Amino acid sequence: MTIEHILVLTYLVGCIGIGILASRKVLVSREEYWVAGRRIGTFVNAMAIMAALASGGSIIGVMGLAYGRGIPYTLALFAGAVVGFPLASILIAKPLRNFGKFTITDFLADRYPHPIVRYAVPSIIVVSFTVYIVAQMKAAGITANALLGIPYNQAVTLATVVFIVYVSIGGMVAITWTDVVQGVLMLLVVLGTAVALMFQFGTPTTLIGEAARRAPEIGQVVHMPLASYLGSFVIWAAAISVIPHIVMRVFTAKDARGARLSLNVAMIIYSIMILGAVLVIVPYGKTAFPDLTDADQIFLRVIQREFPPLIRGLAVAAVLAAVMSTTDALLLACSSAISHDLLGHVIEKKFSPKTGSRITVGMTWVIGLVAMILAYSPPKLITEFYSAAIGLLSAALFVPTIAGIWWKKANLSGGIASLVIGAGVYLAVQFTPGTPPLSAILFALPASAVAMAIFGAIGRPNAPEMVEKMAHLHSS
Amino acid sequence: MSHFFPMKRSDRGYLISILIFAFVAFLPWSHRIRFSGMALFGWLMAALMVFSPAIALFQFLLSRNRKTK
Repeated sequence: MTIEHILVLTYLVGCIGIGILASRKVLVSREEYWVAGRRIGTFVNAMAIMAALASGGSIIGVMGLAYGRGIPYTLALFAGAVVGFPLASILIAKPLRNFGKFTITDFLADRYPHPIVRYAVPSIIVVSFTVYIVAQMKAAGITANALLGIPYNQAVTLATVVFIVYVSIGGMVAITWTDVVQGVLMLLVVLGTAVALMFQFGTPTTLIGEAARRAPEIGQVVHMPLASYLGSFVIWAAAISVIPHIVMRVFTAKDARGARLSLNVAMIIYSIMILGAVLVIVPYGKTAFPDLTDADQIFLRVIQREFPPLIRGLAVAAVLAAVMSTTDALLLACSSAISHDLLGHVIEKKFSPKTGSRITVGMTWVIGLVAMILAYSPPKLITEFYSAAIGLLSAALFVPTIAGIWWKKANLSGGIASLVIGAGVYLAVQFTPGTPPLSAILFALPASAVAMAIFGAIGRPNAPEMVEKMAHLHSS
Repeated sequence: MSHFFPMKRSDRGYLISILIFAFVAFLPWSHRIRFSGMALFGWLMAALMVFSPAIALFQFLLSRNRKTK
């Protein structure tokens, strides 16, 4: 067994240990399991938010995307995510934290009380997040395969079992603790790699200039239609406000101010990490390995070429950390969509809290195993793949959520229409042959907004109590 | 009477500034100009990633300080 294997094994055992420790606290109540008792401090929450968003996509995928589609396209996509944080901080952090439930479905089903909303929202979350989880598992598989020599399918299975164990028994408390450790680890490895390369080979402008001399397309805006650049930006700018694993972290904050500050701090850390990866590691990698067939391998090749075994072991742990810190949050959000949003009423009525918790744990296993089986046939360019799935969430949920919080005339008809039309237009455009990648959102969001405006105007007005309730979320 | 719940002026100003910056950055002029091997568009996106969180945090802390005073 090499030093890389020992490091990774220690890390995996540590994650399961945290899950076991946390399970003593969380399986006693729903509030503890889903939102960690709402007592997570600002900086811990910020690190956990950063780690939850900085997925395998953000380490393996971001560099693969920049290598394959050029740096400007990648920066457009990730700038969208970064801009999404202040949008979320301003638009949803305070009202949703004051709302004080568990999930985005809780809010939407309360704001637009109708079975369509209660069942459509969690269904869309489960579909989008299963795709997102598959992409993360590919990142785990190719990393363990490239740096540890473990066969791809075995690596996917091992990573899946570990994070299902600690999520299913440890809930949000385990996720928060492991996310902090994982956030620090991935920040150290990505920034450490970037700084080491800068010391050795020069500043970002030098590295990009050198890469562009050998492969000019890396710095050009030519790979994709402009609609794809704009679409990738808009998908993520809109997604952060409604993406369930980030919204759940808003619910875990001690108060509304803490929720807002956590989002602000998280996005600064996230930006620094992404810029280090895209402006330093990718141009160096493009110069050193100009002809990779699987672009997602670029970070691993750079690590293999430039660093000793100890750093390679840390890099595997960091990528697994990135994968797991996102996937655990996605798994929890997915299992909450089923066992809290879809089946919550039945579980609460028919089963004891303990049996309810066991059903939740079982649901986490089912989702994780389904995603694992799908991950055995992995997609190409994982970031583009899961961004398309997140686009569906943004298209369906952004307008009903934001209008529901800020527009007094957003009523039941408007909420249902904007949800259904947003999702419908997105899927119709996405599966139309010849549509530029990630551009469907540019049709779906306006269609959803128009539906909200038209049906909001012609539908039955809100009861005064509803407007009062929303006003209370803004004022308290 | 407004049909919207009130938003702080500083927040509104911030959102509008971000929208204008993004709109200007996405216009084709920034695609052709190159600096150090990369289109200006890429550098503008990188700048957006640095400045949008920094300004948002600064603004939030400023408003919090005002409240505590």
